[in-house]
Amino acid sequence: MTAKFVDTPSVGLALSKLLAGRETFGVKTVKDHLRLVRVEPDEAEIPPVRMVDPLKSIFFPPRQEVADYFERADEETPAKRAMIGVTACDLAALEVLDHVFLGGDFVDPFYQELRRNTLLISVDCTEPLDVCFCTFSGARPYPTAGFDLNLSPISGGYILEAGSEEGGSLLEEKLADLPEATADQFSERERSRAAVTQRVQQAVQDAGLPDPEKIYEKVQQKPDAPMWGELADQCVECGACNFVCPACHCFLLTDLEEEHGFRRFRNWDACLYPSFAKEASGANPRKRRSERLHGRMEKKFYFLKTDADRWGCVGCGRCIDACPGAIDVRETLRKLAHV
Amino acid sequence: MSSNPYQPVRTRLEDVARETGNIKTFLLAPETALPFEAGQFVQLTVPGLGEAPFTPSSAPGRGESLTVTVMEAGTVTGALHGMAPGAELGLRGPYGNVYPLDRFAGRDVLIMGGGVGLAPLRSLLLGLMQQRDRFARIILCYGARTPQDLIYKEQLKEWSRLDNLEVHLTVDQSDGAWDGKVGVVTTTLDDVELDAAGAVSAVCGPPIMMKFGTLALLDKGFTPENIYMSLEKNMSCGIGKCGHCRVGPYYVCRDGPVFAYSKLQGIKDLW
Repeated sequence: MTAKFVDTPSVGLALSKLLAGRETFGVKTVKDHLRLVRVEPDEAEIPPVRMVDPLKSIFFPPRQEVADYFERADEETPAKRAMIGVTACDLAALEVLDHVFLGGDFVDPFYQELRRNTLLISVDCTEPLDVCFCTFSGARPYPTAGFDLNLSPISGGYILEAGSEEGGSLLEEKLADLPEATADQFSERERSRAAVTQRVQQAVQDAGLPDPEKIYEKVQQKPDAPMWGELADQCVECGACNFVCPACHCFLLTDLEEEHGFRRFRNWDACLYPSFAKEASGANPRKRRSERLHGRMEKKFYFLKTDADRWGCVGCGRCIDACPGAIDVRETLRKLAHV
Repeated sequence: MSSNPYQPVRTRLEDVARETGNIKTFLLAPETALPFEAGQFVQLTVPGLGEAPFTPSSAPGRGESLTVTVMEAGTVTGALHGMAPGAELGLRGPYGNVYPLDRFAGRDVLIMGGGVGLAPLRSLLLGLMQQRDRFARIILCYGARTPQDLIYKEQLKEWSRLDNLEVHLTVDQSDGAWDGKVGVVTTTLDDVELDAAGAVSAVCGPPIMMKFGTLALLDKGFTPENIYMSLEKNMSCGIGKCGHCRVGPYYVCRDGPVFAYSKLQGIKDLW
């Protein structure tokens, strides 16, 4: 695939040329937090690590209208969009969401449209956070697939590399005058990537994180282990871990009566909520908090592995930051590996 | 844009029949037919309020009209119970898998239902009766809490008179006028003589009945591969996306709702 070199002062202009006419999302530092916001292409930051908000928000919004009944809504083609600053963990999670919303006998047309119309510009991580552990599953802190264009910081600027046909043609069409990235620049990138990978791997090792294959077995074998009850003492069933997780995809349909007709919305839901699995009969197969905490791990490390051949946890550490009960998923995984 | 799986089809409520104090059967006519096979379910919309999943209780077929038998349990079913013929509803589906009738062929078929759980089994039973010659004996075991709680009372009488269908009824508590069997539904198995090892069974009812019903069928000699359960979990989307109905490695809406017990053995949060 094509790769160009763009120097630091020209990045904003390059992005503006690439993304002209698109509704653009990107990352901006807001009160010390890297937030996902609407931006002009030349204002987007090139973040050194994943943003606070999960990428899913722009493909699977927290609340989205999915039906207007009994009228069929006019089919609107959404504006062409772009997202600047996606990290490898969010791209890995997007593979899970693609499996859920685009796979099987039914395609979710809303997700499909937003995916189709959004160009993804990813970045290498250069400053992993304390909570980052993406390499535990063999993943890397830099994008290897699933992006249209990727920015890798090197001395004086960035390697801008195409990862898809669309990204490649855009690069050729809009930025033909940029120099090709050189072999030396690629070597520098490899050294930098290896150093960051090594840092995350060291953190994973220091944290004593098990191989996810081990979790795959244990989560099936140990639904009754005391550790789930201990976690339940910490959990306040707020659903924050579900909402910030880039791979959590559960939702609830709710309907509203309008002046003319009715509308249906698809809303994020959380498997930690007590009534998540409650049936009309009153029966609740996961009525205890401990059962729901186990259920969440079972979904991520057994169900999704079986169903999608993907891990439902990408090691982004967002849930560690978000949990008001100080539950650290690394601790959970470590305990589970040893029960 | 691909077709929208969340969009309901406008449906007219044609008729309402009371079955018990809190169960009614609704005859539905969707604007566009929903052809379905025995075992599959539909999502019924009460406009503005929401949806609930039901396996039709009428014979499988072209789905120009179908019935659902509904216990009043929540907001959607409560509103439905307050509706009269002519009301506007919505339907989408059908979803889920079907009873593997090829595996039923040539064998004795025992259908065991508890309470409103007879509703989906009625669709299966009507389907079996449409091609009666394909199966050996067909045996219906059905129980409810009291004689008043039995659904399809008239049809049960008709079925009892058929010589190609064996019907065993029971109630947990008699009301004096009841001259039939008293006991939980599993006790009807004592009155059935059959070679269970070669027979198949279909079970549906409240969770507790599903559990003890299945255990009783195993005791009787049915193999786990030949006990088919129709599960009704909390569902929202019905199409394998929303995550609510997950049981172990399955989504009930997508991989079920009909499961051989052999596929569910060992799943902790099954009941």
